[in-house]
Amino acid sequence: MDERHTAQQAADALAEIDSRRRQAVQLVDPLPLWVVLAAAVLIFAINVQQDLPDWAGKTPIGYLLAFLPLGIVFVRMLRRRATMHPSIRRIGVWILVVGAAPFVALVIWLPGRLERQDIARPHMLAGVILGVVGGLTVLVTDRVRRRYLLNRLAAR
Amino acid sequence: VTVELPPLDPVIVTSTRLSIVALLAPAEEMEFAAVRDATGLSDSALSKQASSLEAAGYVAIRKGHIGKRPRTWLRLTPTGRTAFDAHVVALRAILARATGA
Repeated sequence: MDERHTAQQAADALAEIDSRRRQAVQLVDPLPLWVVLAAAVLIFAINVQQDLPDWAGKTPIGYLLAFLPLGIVFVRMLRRRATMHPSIRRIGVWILVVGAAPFVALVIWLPGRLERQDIARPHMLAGVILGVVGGLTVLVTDRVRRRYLLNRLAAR
Repeated sequence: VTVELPPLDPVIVTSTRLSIVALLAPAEEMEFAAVRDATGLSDSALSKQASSLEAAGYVAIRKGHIGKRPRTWLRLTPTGRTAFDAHVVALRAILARATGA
């Protein structure tokens, strides 16, 4: 086996490893579409219920709608096909924290701000905005963290 | 002066085993079916390779249930992880020498 052939094999093997790593990161940390849905529905429900008239079933149905997606997320988490190795579990968590910070600020600031405006259903509007922004925040930060994780794994 | 290259690991030098080990490396544990789907191997082929890796002490196989359904999980052992890391180092060294990096 000449050296160039060995080098080509090494390059192929490293490419294969990189490809498998990408697959593994998808498997151990699957795209949290259910988390996005759960977060969006929860935030939406918390805000919208404030604009709805009181009636007997409002609270239980509200809780059910708000927490059902979270329950589904939990069940899916229990049934996931792979778990992340402890050595990489904390890599890039700061990205999620930094990504979530502006959203948390928006959650605190927006409902009160809209309430002071002359808007018919301020909480419903806040719920829609926060649900959409929250969902997008989860998607974007997850994408960035996943890329960061892969880069860190490749650099090891 | 010729610098001695680190040796490649004989157990995972084959592409199929390397794929399995590389797939398991970022995971604490991975379901047999997930590894099978990701690698495109048949049940029997993966089972055979997993047994070889288990015999070498690189992979641990755990059998269990989710509800009533039987499941098998594969996990890279510390020995397997060390061997994989060393193998990657050896591959990089080969490439670096060939490219003069």
